[in-house]
Amino acid sequence: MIRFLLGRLVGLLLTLWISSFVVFAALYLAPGDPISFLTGGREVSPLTLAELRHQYQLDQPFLVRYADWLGGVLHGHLGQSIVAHQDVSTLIGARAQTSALLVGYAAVLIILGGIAAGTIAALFKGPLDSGITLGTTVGLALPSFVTAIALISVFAVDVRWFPVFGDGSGLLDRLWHLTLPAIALAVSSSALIARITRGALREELGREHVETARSRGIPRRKILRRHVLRNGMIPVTTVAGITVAGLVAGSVVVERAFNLNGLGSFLVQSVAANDFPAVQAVVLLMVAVFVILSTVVDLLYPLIDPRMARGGTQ
Amino acid sequence: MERREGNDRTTASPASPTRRLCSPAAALAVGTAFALTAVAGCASPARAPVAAPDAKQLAVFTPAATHDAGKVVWNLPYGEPSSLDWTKAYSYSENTVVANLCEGLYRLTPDYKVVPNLATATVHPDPTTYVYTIRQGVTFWDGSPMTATDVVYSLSRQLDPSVASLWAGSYQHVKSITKTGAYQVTVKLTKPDALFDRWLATAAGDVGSAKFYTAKGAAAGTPTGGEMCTGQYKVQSWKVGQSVTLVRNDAYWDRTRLAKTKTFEFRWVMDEAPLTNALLTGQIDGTYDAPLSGLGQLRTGAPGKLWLGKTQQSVALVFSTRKSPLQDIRIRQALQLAIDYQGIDKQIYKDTASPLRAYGGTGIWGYAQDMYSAAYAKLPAAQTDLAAARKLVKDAGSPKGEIVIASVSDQPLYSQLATVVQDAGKKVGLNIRLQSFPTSTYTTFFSDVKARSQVDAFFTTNYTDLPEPLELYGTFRPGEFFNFGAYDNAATTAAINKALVTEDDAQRAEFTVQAQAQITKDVAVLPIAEPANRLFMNNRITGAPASFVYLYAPWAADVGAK
Repeated sequence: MIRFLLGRLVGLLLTLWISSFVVFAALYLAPGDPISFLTGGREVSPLTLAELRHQYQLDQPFLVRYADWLGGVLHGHLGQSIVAHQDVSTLIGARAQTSALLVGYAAVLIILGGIAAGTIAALFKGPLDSGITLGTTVGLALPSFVTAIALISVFAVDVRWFPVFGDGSGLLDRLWHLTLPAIALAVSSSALIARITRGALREELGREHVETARSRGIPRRKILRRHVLRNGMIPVTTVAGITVAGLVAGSVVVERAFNLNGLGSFLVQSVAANDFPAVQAVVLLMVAVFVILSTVVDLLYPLIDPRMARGGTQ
Repeated sequence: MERREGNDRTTASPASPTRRLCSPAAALAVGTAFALTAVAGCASPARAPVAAPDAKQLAVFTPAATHDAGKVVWNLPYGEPSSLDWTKAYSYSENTVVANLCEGLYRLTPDYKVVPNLATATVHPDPTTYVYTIRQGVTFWDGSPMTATDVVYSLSRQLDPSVASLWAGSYQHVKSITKTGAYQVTVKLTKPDALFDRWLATAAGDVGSAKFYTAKGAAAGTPTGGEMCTGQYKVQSWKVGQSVTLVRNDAYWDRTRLAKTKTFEFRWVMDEAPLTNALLTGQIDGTYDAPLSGLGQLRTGAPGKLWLGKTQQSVALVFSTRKSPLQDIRIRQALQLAIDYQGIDKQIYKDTASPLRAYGGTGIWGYAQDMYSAAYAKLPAAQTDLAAARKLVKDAGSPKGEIVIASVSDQPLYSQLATVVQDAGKKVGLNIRLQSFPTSTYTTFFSDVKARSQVDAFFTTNYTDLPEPLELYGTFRPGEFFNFGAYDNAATTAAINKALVTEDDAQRAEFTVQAQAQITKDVAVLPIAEPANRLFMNNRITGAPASFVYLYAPWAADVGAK
């Protein structure tokens, strides 16, 4: 187990290092620079321009800048945003909360809603199943921005149950502000989870050992809990894990639609401004969250199916 | 020797509460030459009515607020300010906020007058010397008095390389800034500069506490570092990524101009659809630059009013130095005649823009308005004439070479304009290709010759900081930053050079209109439209100036309840 975790940690650090280099190089090669973004294309005296470029080391060669940045990170300093004149860690801290809450909220909706709908569809053939299948087909086809627009126009502009934009303050207010965004973010993913759950459970239901158990007269509820649901959850956990991990980066569209102050929209803004310390930090955070979440999913397998415990530690 | 003192600079007293209103109906009406008399009420009483023959009539003020609105939530459509330090306030969001916090030696009024502010008088004994008398009894937010030392320190900050002020360009001819009396500051220039003194009405002339900014260093202006100025509002809080909240400075020195509303909260909804919804539901009370795509809803279904105000902005197509058929003046003329200006106003600007006869629009004439107005009226109107355009293309030998025009992928306005221009070219036989760039690349076109050499022409929205046409036309000299097409005309250069050192307004206007005429004749730039300043306020509030003055004038203080 410890070896497994250590292996994952080394993998994480390696992934972070490689992705930091790739992102740094991409931003270096991309046209545009943060100073011209800062001035919005307005005239600035050449002396000031040179001074600013010097202050932010934009006049240094690529490798020197990368080494400088890496040195800072190793000392726990993520650098200063060129556009916001502040430490990147401060800028991210404020936004990470919103993102975490949004993704967490959406994840709960996706997992609970998806698994519930999928299980019902798998167990109750007939109109209920057809209804859920139709619903998930529509849900899967709905891009989150369409859902967002529809939710805003109905629930925020027409009946005004929810605010149009912003992330609120205080837990309850935040949850209220994040309800529509979380639903917009959750719709298509929960449809996917419902589909996967339905398929996995149906497959398990037709398995030989389930048939056998049923023929031996074991109560249906026990069969479902011990054989069908438990085995069926393995593919569902995998997909749910990846989906939720992907939400961290994928929430940008919803963040924009609701003008939320999250990491996704911050990343987009920073890329547009070529603000590389900010981009680097957000990307690294997202990579780390992705790797950590998938590790958590890996750790969940043995809990669902003890047979996998041995496989995991080899 | 010229001596200018106090109110001699202008006709209005700084404390004058005069508010002259334009009815929204007049603001929306499409002006014609015959509408001139009908709209005289919009103009300031001290000057002749200003209107271009083909420009829309635009408002300057909105009805004055009667009492405290408690809290006003205002939008910044260009995003969170990057800093509230005035030396770094050089774009929409920053200036819109800083204008209410920090004040300069002069102040701009909504009708573009420059009035004394932290300086009570200016003496200009010779062309390179300005002696400012500093106002007494002014205090910073912390209660400490503002002195000549603070003024010298603040102006000198503009020249400090470690500060790297974005406004340093306006101080390019400054030789020294010294305290020459307990309440007197003298600025000496290396050579005459007709614009320097006027720059002090923008953020370039802002004054803050020397003690505070020395202590804060680079942290000044950030959410944690804060600011220390003398304005009608002070910063209460800056929640990173979320809001900037200002609170009234109850100890403001000019008791007649205390802020009407106690709290002013700035949010930034940048996308047009969420912003429209926030305005429709009243979550946001007001905004400048009201979203074009939401104008229909804001005009008819919103609990508020859309105001079209005087502007200093103009949109134009500028040319790079890359070889293309556009280098032939006849092709540029042809393109100019082929563009559907009315279509641009109707379809893209939703009836809120006016066609332009010159690069500089009608809103930038801060002085000598009769002269500018007359000169503008003599220029040919922006009209579509396809037959004449086709003839010009034919005369130029019907060049088949490709013309590449930049379109900005994440800015619908520029993409739409590019399509209109491409369509115009097609109608007269020009081969125009659109190439799309993200904003991050597009902004480098302005500073980097190599970047803009990927295209033959690109769009710009320009605004002058001062109501001074010379600020625009001054860029048409060889070697200037904004002279993208390397335009070089001896007569133009001579006229600009003379204007830049001419302090007499009428004389300076004379030289400037000469340059304007030549630049317009040469189609050195292709003027597209003058978008009105779009202000939206919901029914709860009133008072914000309708004009474009909000970047440098303390506008929020006028906003309050009806």
